[in-house]
Amino acid sequence: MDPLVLTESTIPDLKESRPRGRVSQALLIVGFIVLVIVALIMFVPFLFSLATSFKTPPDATKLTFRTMFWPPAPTLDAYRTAFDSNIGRWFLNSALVAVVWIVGRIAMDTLAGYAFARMHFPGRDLIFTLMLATMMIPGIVLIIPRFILLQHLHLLNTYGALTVPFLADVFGIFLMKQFFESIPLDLEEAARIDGASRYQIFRTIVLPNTIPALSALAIFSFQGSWNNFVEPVIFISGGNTNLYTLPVGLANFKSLYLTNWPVLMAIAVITTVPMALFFLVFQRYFISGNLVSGIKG
Amino acid sequence: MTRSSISRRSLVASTAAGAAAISVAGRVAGQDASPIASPASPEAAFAMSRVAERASGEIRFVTFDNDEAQKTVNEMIGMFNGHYPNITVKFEPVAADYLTKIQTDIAAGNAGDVFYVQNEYAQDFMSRDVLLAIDDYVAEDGIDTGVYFDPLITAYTWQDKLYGLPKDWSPLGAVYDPDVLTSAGVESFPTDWDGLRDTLQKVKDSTGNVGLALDPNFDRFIMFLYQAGGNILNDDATEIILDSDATSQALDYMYGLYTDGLISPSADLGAQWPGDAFAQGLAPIVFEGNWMFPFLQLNAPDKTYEVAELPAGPAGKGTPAFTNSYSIFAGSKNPDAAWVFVNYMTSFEAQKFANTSGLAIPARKDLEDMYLELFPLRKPYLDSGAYATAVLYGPGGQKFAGDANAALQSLWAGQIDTEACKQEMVDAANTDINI
Amino acid sequence: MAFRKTTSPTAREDMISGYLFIAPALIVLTLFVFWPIVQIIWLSFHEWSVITPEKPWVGLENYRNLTKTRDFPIALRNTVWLSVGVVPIQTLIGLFLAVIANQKIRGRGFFRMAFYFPSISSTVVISVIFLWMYQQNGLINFILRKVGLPTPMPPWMSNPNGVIAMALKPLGVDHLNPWLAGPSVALLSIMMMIIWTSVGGTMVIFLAGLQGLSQDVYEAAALDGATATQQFWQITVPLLKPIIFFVVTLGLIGTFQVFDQIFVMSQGAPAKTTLTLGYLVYQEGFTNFAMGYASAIAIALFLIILAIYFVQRSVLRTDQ
Repeated sequence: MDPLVLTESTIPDLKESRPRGRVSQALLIVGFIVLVIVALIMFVPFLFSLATSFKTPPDATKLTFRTMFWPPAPTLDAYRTAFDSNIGRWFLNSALVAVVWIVGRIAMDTLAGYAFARMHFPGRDLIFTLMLATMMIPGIVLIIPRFILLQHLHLLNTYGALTVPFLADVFGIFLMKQFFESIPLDLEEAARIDGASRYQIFRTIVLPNTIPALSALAIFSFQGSWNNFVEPVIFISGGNTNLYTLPVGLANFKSLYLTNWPVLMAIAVITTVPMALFFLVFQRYFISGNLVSGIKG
Repeated sequence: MTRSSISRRSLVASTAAGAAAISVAGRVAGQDASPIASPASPEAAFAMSRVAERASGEIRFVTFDNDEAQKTVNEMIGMFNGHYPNITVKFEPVAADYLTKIQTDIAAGNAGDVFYVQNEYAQDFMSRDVLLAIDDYVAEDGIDTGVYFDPLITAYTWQDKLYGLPKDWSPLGAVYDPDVLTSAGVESFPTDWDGLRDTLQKVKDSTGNVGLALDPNFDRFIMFLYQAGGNILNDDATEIILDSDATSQALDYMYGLYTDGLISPSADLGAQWPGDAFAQGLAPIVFEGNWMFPFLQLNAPDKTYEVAELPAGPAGKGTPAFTNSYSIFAGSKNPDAAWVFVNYMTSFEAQKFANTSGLAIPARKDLEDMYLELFPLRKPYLDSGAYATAVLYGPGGQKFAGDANAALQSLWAGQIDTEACKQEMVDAANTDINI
Repeated sequence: MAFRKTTSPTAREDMISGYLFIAPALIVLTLFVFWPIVQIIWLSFHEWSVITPEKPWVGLENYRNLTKTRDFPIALRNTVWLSVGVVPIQTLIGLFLAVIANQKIRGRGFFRMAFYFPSISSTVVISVIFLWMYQQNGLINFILRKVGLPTPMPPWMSNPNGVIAMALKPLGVDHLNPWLAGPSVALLSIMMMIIWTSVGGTMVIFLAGLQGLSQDVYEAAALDGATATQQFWQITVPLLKPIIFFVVTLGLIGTFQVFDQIFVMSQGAPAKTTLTLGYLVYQEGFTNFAMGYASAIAIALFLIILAIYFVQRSVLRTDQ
């Protein structure tokens, strides 16, 4: 990949920019209106799904202006059915899997990223280039051999299938490598002169400075695992519903209970709300992560 | 499994949530229930399996039963253990993607000892030696396979050997709203193709809307194919006979109804499947199976309906049969115990218990009367057992179903004509089915 | 700070630590990325129907079947339409929105957040919501009818008619070659959904790029009397070329692997017009159980993506 070097510093704080050229006040207003319309278009589907989740199935299919976004007889039935169908367990699974991803990646990607950035060992660049090359391979391409491998390891239809293949990822390593390379060498050199070992340097000097990057990696891993669908739906095929993560639960619920749209929307809402909250709080990292990598997102 | 047509499994699942309203034996709500009178036919006496004398140990039982059905199964396993305490049954229901799970387990050599096999892929499994032939067991325990509806036994017979005993089944029948038909001037449900066309025209003239909600899926088209005297494969599955006049006749008829605005796919009406269209009152007639009724119970409990056999075609009456079997894995390590279990689960005693919920029609003829007493409105379904044909796609035929559906969808969209559609289906059959 | 007096790290220590540090990640990646790559190449030269354990060698037959069967060309065609339809539009809209958002407009932060949110939501959630909205009596048709516009019949997700064919029909063009008929209405519905999802992401990238542009060139141009439009096309766009190509490459790679939406919404129906290459891999592997053939499709998909990347790269080079 030709990494476009958009480091953290070039994002999220939006600078006050001067209007370019002769952009009149009228154009600004038009622009504002356009943005508002587009923002509405972005919100409407989510609002609609939220409203539907509080309706009964017959109400949901009869749309009128008044009842489009406001249920005529709000009910929690859909959510109750969702919980009866084990959505609580799905939620826990998604959360558990996310935690494992985050911990695994922070551990493995950070170590590897640091090694690629700072250490010298034969084959370093070759191994890294090979890893980078694999970033372009879509998940669906490797799904069959992974499936076979997990079958041999007896990990199919277990939590292992949802976590083990994802404990390290090339993008995370790349991210951490970039970040470590941006830390001035002097600090480390000074410690080296003082006689610290590699491990000590890593632990006492490098790590504390890496918190922002680790946060970005954590957010990214959370986003990746929470929404991950291709692999779970194939690796957990046919297991009992206790192993489902939220997206898998939603997809399978849909294929089983065709006509109950409010329940589907309820599951959709429950899946989206945690991500929305996370996003609101950690906006900066989401967007920065997206820019630095550009591969996901 | 292509999802373009609703698998009846998924419908049973969707209605299971409301199946709590339909409990076992007796408290059946709904218009077609009646109190159980004393059974007209003598109950088949329970006979211990002779194989059980040498059978013991654990077997794994893998199925696609949803939560509600699982309760019934668990109780049946309890009853089983009452007779055969030496055999432990490990029940492993699979929530979704049953076929995928079964096939990958087979590949790994550790499929369940006993599992459900649906008619669509039965021939595929049988031709690839996945299932165990049970003729010897059947003979040893003196089972009379004639007690099951013939098409169901045929579905699980391959090259003169039997590979499973049927669990339950359903044909397609006409479910209709009698009031709409009466106000359209239709006195009784039509009994042949011309009559059907006539009825649909009258309904359209009277209500302005389509009379029949029917999706362009192969497993619905096949009813017309049977009624025209055709099929995909010949009787012993040695030849593909899809390229026939019967196919053209059936296609012309079904597509003709569509182009004349007499039938409509359920999506065009705003429903997910025809049963949904019926429940919402969007169409007064549908051709669906027994899974309609629990769905109606749940979604439109007050709707009146009546049931009739499908109209006959040029070659007579015809309807597809959809069924499941209890089959034994060819690689089972404990086939004797597996057989004892299959024997029990298909016995009169077990099946009587299983079928009182009305989720499917019993496979045993001797349970007909009991079923009719519980659900008298469903008599036409049982009557069609005399001429129903199990839907069999042949070895490797699962892909065929998907390709055939695509051809029908193209036809419905007007992209090709019936001749081209027939050709596409024939080509698909020749490519996909390995005979 | 004072460290324990040890000997400073030798090259050998470095080497050992180096390998130790990368070991965990390397093990995981070898198992789940490198080894699968080898295996899928191997598998594509064999046949395996899953139920039976035999995997006989078939040489290039799977690859030859790519052209012989109907499904691969159909999937390729659909995926190309998807890509060609989605990528330019999401790029242009993203750029357009970024330019607007870059002005002195109130609440830019809010807009940026609002637009970006769909791109981090679950594709399954979005697919289910849109499936619901595309119903015959769903929200989209409801709005169209209220506004007096016609709604497609059959409704969106069941309509296999190509949009170009539909547009040309009134002109008397009847039997159009399938490759020219355009994406079906169903595929178009999915494409619109994908554009909706990703437009925010592209906007954010462009916005960052715009923020990084120096104002001097613009001032000079303004002094010379250039209008806003001229400035946009002759200054902004050329300066943003690297980012534009970046976004386009990502878009192409992303659209070529579309799977989730097809799995949830249509499974390739109606009439195989929403069958994409990504979904075909799944269908051949896990529904039809032709794993060798599915592997060949996967490799073909990867090679196509690789080709796109290199083409993009060389276009970028010649431009510079």
